Amino acid sequence: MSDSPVRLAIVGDPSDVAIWQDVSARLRGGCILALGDSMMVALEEHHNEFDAVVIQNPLNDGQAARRAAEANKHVFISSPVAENLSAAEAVIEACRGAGVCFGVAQTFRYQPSSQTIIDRLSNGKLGDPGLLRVHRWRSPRNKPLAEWIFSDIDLATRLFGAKPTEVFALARHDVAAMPSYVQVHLGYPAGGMAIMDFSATLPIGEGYDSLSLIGSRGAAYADDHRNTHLLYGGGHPSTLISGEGHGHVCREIQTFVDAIRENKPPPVGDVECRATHQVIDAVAQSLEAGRVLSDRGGQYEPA
Amino acid sequence: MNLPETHNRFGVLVLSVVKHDYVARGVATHPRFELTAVADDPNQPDWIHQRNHKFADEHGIAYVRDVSRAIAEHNVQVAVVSSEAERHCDLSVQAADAGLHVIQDKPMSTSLSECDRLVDAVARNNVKFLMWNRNLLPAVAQAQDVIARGEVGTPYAFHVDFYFAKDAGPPKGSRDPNDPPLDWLEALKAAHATGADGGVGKEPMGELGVEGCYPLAYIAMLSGAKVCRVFARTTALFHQVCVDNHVEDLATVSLEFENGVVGSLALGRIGAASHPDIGEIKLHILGSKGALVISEARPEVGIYYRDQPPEEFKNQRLLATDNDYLLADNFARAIDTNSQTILDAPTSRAIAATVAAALESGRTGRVVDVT
Repeated sequence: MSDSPVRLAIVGDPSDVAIWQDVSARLRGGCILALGDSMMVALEEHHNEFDAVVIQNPLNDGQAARRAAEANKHVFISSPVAENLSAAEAVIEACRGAGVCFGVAQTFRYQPSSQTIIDRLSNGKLGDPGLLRVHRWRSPRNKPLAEWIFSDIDLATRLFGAKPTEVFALARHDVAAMPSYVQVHLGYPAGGMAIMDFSATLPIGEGYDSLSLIGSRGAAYADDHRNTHLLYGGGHPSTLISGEGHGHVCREIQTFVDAIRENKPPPVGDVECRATHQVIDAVAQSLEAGRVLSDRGGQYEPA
Repeated sequence: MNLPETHNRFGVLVLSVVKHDYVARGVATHPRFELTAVADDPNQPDWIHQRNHKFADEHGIAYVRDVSRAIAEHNVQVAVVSSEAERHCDLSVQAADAGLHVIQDKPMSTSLSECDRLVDAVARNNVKFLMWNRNLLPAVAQAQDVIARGEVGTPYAFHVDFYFAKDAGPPKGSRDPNDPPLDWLEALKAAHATGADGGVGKEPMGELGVEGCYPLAYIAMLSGAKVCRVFARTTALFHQVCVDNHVEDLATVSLEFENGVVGSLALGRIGAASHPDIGEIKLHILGSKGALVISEARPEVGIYYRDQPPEEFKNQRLLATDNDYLLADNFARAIDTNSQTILDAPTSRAIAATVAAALESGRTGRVVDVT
């Protein structure tokens, strides 16, 4: 393990400086030395000041990540890595070719609720995972499918310990080419199942998150509905939903720093990224064909 | 002061009451319905006659081992059917053909052809039919009001979680591999004491078959639309009796409706350890202008005390029994005004068809059309 701390640059959306300062203060074996909104500027003007880059909002088919890899910077890229598997493969290959560490950030694995559920599942308290139910509802946004569903597909893979064996999806389109609503139904080995829906039709304002996992020995419920407070200001009361803070950002980046220092793959690296993008591509195919796709030797094909 | 209009009372013939008896008791909460007699076919096994007899004795009414004779000899206008699911339609058709209005426990049947026979009999005899349901629970009724007021715009997605946190005999894998398979009928007969015997009968029924009617009835009422395609995953994760009898205790169903609406069910008998109360039952509804998240159990009151029996629910639903009265009232009004009940025969048949398609999808792994 290297003794020198890993120097990180945050590129893409460094708007919340206070959060990054807090993350930097909490990191062990790493520190955040640069914040910027352009990979080009970061590489040209601060090239020697950082070892690794954390890429926010990576829309442009992984171009920023490839550029960072070519400059021999370790890459921690927010999910989704790209819009589809082939574009994600290009990023992974660029990192592999440059011999730098590749990891995926902004998954749901490190949120306090997910960590609690993963912990109880891992130590057998909940038994075998049987049914994962997720609702993610947001205000209108014009984002590619991968950006909607990557983190939940990844979390489902983590919870079930396997890729889905069956993929079926439904969508609704309003005016825009992008769907305003997507429902994903997944089958897993040993009878496991997940059903998730993603909406972009809530009025402008806060979103709604709900996740429940039914296991053979118990169940877990992480639901905004359960974490809602009341605010009285006349008329019907308003609700206040307690968020989960930003500690998970630090935990996630810590895994990346540890991976670099210990020369090991991060928890969500190339293997996990490929698996998730394969499922996302299968979801897109199912939406187009209106059919179920089954895993046939690593490829999803019509059932 | 204007007193309510006085209406005639209805004599009620209870046609078999072999499983939980909440339907007959629920109907009796309404002053216009009077339990008059219990009847069943004479060739039924002793345990069925014993349960019928016990219920009749508890209510101080006669038990007649001949349905036709009971109808002829008693002044009855309504039949309440709460037999094994595979006999539901046959008894209901007998009642409808005798001119009785019918209230029936869920599910409609284990066979779609039997459902069709009942739909025909109800229409042919111009009688009313009500499938017992939970649509008038206060939270569900509130959801309907919110939708009717347009507060979420045009609804386009309906999701229901319907979990019963109850056990059903030995957990999966807890018995010796050399033990003989658990007998479905005997296991469900034994569950009568806890009221968890909704699937009692010769034909094993999974949770989707037994309980799927409830969440699908919510969706039918709230959406006003018919399901046209389903994709389902089903498994037996919890209970050995389900494993041994090849029926599901956990299921997810994707729903596509004729009008482009979508939805889903997540449903299961997930074991008593999985929830502090009866189980999470929630509705998630998305509309063009907003969304609604409803807990079907609320309002409820939490009750905790020293030496509390473990089987006692610590959160008690309020107004749940009001659902019984309101359903009976809905039925009486349908008879009085010749209007539809809140869950009539064609809608119940459509729900049964959706369940059948989901079970087929669970078996085949394919998307199945609902016919």
